[in-house]
Amino acid sequence: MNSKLSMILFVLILGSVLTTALVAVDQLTKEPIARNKAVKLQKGILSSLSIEFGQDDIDKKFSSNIEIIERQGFELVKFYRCQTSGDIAFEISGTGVQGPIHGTIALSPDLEEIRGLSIVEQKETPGLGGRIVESEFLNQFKGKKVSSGLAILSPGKAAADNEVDGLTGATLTCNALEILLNSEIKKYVVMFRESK
Amino acid sequence: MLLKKLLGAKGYKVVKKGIWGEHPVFSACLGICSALAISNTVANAVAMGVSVTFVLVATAIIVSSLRNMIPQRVRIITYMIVIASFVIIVDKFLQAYFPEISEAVGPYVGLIITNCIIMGRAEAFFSQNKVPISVLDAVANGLAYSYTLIFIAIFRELLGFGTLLGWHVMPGGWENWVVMTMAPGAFFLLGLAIWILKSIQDAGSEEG
Repeated sequence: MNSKLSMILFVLILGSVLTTALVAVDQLTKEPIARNKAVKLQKGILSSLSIEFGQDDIDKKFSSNIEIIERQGFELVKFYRCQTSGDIAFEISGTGVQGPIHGTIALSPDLEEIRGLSIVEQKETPGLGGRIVESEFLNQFKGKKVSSGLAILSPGKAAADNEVDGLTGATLTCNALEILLNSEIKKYVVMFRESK
Repeated sequence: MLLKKLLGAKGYKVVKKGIWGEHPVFSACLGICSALAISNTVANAVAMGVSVTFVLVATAIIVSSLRNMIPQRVRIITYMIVIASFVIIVDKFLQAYFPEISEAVGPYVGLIITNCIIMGRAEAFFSQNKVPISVLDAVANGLAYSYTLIFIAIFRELLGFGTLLGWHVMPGGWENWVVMTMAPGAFFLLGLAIWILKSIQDAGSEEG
């Protein structure tokens, strides 16, 4: 009986100590993690709008170049307009293969053509689906027409102005991204136009 | 040897065993899952190696200093919660201060919890030895795991992506061996690595 009691006590004490340590670490890292997230979103928007930035002037570039336009749908949605080119950027998100994919996309002022795409957050398989963040892949989207829907094909097959080469070994991720892009672009373009 | 003097006879033996004689990956075949998953690029392999080494050392300190207090019947669960706590700390730390690496290694940091090397060393060594020698053992095993991962990653990244640490190094006409970036390539290479390293090890032990 006594040994059982001490066993429970031991687990309880060790558990509490470690939990306390974890809570402390969580508190300590909460702020930098939130800041990293915000910076990542800003970086995503800046790079999809093709605004160049360095590591130190992200905030400054963001506030001096971008006008925030708000639209009331089911929830408040922010659109980011580049003041020099007039391109409109917004956040997109949806399901990937391993977890949510979150990114930003910039469209031309008439909302017909992609000006830039960047992926802010994804949990795809490292080295396979995870390669959707690489600029070689994302740069292909520049100049593609969105009105008839985008298509991500197997590598080397893209020809038309709405087609993009996919990644080898990442067919499922590419399919998921295609669905995500088409539905999100449609949704936000309608929202932006209608609530003008 | 300098190292031998520095570590003492027992310490030297433990380190040598960890790094070579009883190598966790190719002698004991522990930690294979993460070795397969994370060895696709060198940067990932380095991040994973450092993370695993840190968790090993931290676990060694806690488990070996508590070794006389841990009740026999709950020892595995004790190792589990100690390891899990440190893994979460590593994960949070990477997210906060190395967001790029955290993204690249992704879910595999969490999976360090299930890395058998840590559990195995906790049960076989840390729970029976004093703190300093346990830490030495942890470092040796961590290094062994890291260099195996990096060794495999060099080949996988070179053949699969044509790059090394993200730099293009293969000649212009190089056709990437896509299989190397995927699980089958890892199996081939890990199998080959175990074969080669084990043969060298066996040849060495025959000589003396």
